[in-house]
Amino acid sequence: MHSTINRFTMRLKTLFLVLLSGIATASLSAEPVKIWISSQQDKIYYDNMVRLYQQEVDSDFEAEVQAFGFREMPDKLAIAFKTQTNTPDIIQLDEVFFGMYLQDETPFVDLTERVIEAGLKEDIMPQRLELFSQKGRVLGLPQSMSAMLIYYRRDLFEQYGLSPSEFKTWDDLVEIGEELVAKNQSFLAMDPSYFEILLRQRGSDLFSETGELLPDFDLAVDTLEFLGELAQKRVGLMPDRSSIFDPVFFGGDVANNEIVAIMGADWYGLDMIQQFSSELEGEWGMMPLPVWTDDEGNPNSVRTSTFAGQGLVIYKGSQSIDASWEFMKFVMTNKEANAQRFLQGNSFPAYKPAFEDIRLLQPQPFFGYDSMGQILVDLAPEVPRVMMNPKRPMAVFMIREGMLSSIMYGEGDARVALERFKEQLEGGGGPPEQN
Amino acid sequence: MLRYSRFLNINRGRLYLAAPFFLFLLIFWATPLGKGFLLSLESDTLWGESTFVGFKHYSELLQDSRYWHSVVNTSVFAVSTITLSIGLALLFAHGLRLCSKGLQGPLTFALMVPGLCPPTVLALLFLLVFHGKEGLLNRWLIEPLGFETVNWLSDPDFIMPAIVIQAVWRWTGFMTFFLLCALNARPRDVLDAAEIDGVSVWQRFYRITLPLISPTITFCLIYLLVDCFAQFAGSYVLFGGSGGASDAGLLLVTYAYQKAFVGGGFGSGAAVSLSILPWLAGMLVQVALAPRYLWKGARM
Repeated sequence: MHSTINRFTMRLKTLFLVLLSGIATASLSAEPVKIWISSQQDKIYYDNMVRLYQQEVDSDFEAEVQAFGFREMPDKLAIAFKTQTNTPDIIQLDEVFFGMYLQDETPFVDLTERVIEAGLKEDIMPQRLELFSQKGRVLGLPQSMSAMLIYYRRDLFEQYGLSPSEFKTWDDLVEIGEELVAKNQSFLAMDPSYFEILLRQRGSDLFSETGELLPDFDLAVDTLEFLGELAQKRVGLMPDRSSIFDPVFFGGDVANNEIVAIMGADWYGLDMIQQFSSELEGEWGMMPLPVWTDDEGNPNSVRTSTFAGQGLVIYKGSQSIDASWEFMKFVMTNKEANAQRFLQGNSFPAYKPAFEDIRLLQPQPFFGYDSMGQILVDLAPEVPRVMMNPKRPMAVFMIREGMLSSIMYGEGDARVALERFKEQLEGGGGPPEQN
Repeated sequence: MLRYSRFLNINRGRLYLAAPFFLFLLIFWATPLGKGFLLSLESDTLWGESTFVGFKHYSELLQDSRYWHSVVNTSVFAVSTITLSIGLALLFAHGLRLCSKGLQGPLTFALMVPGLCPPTVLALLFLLVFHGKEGLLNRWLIEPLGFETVNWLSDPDFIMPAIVIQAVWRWTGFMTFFLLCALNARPRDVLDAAEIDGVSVWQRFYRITLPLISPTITFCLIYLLVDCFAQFAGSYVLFGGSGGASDAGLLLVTYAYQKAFVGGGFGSGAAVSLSILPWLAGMLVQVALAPRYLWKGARM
């Protein structure tokens, strides 16, 4: 009798354990992959991609896509990591903010093996893959090529009798710009990010590979002086709020024809220009950046540069690393996913096999039937590397807000401003040293 | 607890009634403050285990030129905002007293509206006010007066005036309301007696009105001082978390934000936040004690 009861109790316990593990498994598998996106525009794209992935790869895949503001998302992410609560699985992070997580131990999954296994090491532009890497470890996949172009106004070019072929060098641009100033017209909209962009175009960067700040200091001074002169000569025009990334810039300076051209990456044209100056459809054109020249007038720089751009990373504490990776890989490699990212006004992919997709190369009515894809594919090998550094977010932030603007308002000279910038970033003003 | 209540000679019933308040104070005020202090003693590890670094972040702040710049900016911002807001509020309160009773209510309410709006909404509104050439301030005031347009949010010389104008616009109405109440509560007999005795208007204002309304002014000062030191939302919307060109508008709270969320240093950010306490406490003590010395001997 006693043993029967024991057996019954044992069976009951076993049944309970099986049920419990079943519930746990079910609850784990039912947990959707949490994807944090840094813009509403991109959320629509990722919602579509989740549906496409369910149709083509895994019908059981569940994902919850949450969109935050561009600046709000890194704030929320930092809090989530610090408190270890409500953490996402996949994060769409701008390369500028990515640098913040390179201090000490990174919170992102090392994807190196997976990237090699999937053949992405060869298929993604190396300059862009390096951007989301640290000490040889790949921590994320770049979403965009982020190659810099000059977006110019076709109607204003026609009005002033200009042709894109005239802008071969920056000297040409200044010369033509001065002629326009005589007609009370500024040429280029200015932005503090141009300092970093031009520095990179000239073969230097904010940081060296070893972490030295402004490794070619004289070149940095020269670049800043050049931008200061552009603004002082009124060839360059500082927007009212000192930023070309502000919707008000389009409603004011662009709509009032106060500038003829803007320098921006592929995502800038696809997203911001198309979105905020939709009334100028067909009036925009694109051309590569003018090149820099040496003392003899020979070109000594590439025709493009790079700044910002999003990438996807996976949080180390995620319970769905494999599922997250498979989805991420799909978004980066699927033909339709890459085409849609471009066609929906997000960015031009850094995934090289996508360069052959005709949909990415066709002329675009918005840009006066120029083919952005073709220009970018031509420029792809020239896109420079970005030297990643934990201090980069603060450096970019300080440049945006403090340094270049002051030079343009006639406060001090470029060398002093850059020395102060170095001192502040290397001293107490920048991010803290590793403890 | 009861033993303590006997020792402190507190009625047990009152202690029970006050207990929820102290419990909430402990949970929602003392605990975050304590946690913040502990955070300021930890390394700036954004992810993973932090280490104890003692007062390292505080000592780094002493060497940090941007920190001192933010201290100076915050003090300038607070003093300017308070002086202008209280001065204008006194003027408006007197003006409102001259209005008919029927007008007083709607006008006071109209003045209070900016203070009732969320600071983020106000800051967005001020983006239009301060916006370069197209901004309302330039269009309606600067250009008609024949001056060259001012780039309020980009020109380092005008950034601080811009954030002061925004704060003054927000709070002057509220302060007017408080001061109007205080002015209306003055004992009529004292003012009448002074008038009969032939005391001049200025003397009556300085020797009688100001001392009588000084508790309300002190309240307004403290209210504004705390708000100025905690100012974040407005400047965040205007400058995107920075201090504007040349850090001309870098305030202490903005700097704490930069340290934590741009530099990835939560420990350093917490240290900046907590370092506000002595500055604020020092200024609060001065504000609280000022009336005693200003009107020594006058009836308070």
